[in-house]
This record gives sequence, C-alpha cells and structure tokens, in this order.
Amino acid sequence: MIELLTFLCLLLGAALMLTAAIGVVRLPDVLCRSHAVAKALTLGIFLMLMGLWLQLEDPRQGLKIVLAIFFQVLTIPVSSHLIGLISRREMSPLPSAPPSTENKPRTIRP
Amino acid sequence: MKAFGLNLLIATIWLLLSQAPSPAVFALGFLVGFIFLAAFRSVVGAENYIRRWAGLARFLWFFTREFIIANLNVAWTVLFRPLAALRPGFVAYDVTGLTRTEILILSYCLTLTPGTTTVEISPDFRTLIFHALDAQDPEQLRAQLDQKLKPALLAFTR
Repeated sequence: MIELLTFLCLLLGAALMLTAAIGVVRLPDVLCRSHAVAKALTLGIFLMLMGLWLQLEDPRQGLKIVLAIFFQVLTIPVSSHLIGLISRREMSPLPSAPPSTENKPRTIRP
Repeated sequence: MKAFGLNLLIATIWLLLSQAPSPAVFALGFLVGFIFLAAFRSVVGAENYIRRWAGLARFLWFFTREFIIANLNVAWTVLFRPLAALRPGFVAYDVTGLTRTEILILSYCLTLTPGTTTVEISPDFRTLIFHALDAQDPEQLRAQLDQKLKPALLAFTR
C-alpha cells in the first residue's frame, strides 16, 4: 500500500516537473513561463518530498521533510514574483508609470 | 488572543498528564482544548477565536482546491493548448484597505491559483499588478478575486 502511494507521489511529482520544464521551453515569454514554473514546480517538489517521507523508516524524521516542503513552498512563489517584477521593469522604462491594463505586453526575447 | 492562550494551556496540561509526552500528544491536547473551547465558546468568550480557525480551515480547503486546479490548468496549457490562443497581459487590482500581511498572503495565493502570477506591488501598497494568461477580460478576473479569494482570506485575518 505504502509502496503504491510512494510510487504515485513520485510519478506525479516527476510528471509535474516535466510539465514545468516543457512549459519553460514552449511558452512564449518570461512571464508566461513563470506561470508554469511557479505552479507545477511547487506541487511537484511537494509530491516528491511526500513520497520520500513515506519511505522513511522512522516517521519522526519526517519533521525535516516538513521543513523542506515549507521552505520550498515559501520561496518558489517569491522567485517567480521577482522574475516577473524584473521582466516587467525591463519592458516599461518608467517604474512609476501607472499600471496598465492593456492586453498585450511586449514580449521579451528569450 | 486570550482564547489561544487558554487553548495552549489546556494542551500543556494534557501533555503533562500523559504517560509518554510527545508532539502527537500535544497536538491531541490542542485538539481537545479546541473542542472544549468550541463547546463553551459563549461562556469563555472565544467566538472570535473559533470563527477565525473555521475561516482558516475553509481558506485552506479553498486554496488546496484552487492549487490543484491550477496545476491541471498549467499542464493542459503547456501540453495541449495552441500558443496562439493565449492572451497574456497585466491586470491591476486594487488592494487599498488591506494590511501588509494580507497583501503578502494574497500575492502568494495569486501566484499559486489558476491563470495568474503576482508581478508587482506598488510601493504605497495600494495596487497589486498580476500577470494573467487570459487577460482578455480584466473586469471578470478582478470580480472573481473580489468574490472568492478576498472574502476567504479576510475570514481568518480579521
């Protein structure tokens, strides 16, 4: 039973990370790419670590894994935010310009 | 705050009374204390405390669902969706009146919920700019935030 759960967790986690990687290659610009990375990578790492936890002999060791999950989930959205912020600054030369709601941002060359 | 202290006190007493103290016993004591406080909430004045915990539970449930939907959404977009159908763009969202902590949690949730990532928070903490994969209808995106995420967030922070 635990074997099966571990298998599922690892498989799903790896599939999500693969999705994130394909997204980075396939999506058109930096901001779209950060969508894929922020979401799929967070859940992917979460599932991989859960799978590792299930395989531990002493479940109390899992507290470290809880910490690892906590820091990953804490930092991935921040890095995605920073990448977005910088690429937006690069696109609009005036940082104090009023926020635009137009639909087409200029794309950044990869 | 007083109710939280009382809950911790009950958990500590439970821990001291147990045969073999461990974190799990403390958690159980906390749960027992919570049930006690919920049962006698009008007597000990813990209505607000109970309401915020319930709000947090509902928020976590809502957020988990949105997070999983977001992942399916990303997988679908990446693998199957024609890129010409994407309409990426920036949307500004008014966050006047929210505290900094609330804006922080909101920006996290925006990044992890379907179709949106936080890009910028203005220095005066009044507007939050996010990037959406489908920004054809900014009004609808804002209305969705106003109706779903914001009330769920405010239910436990206030």
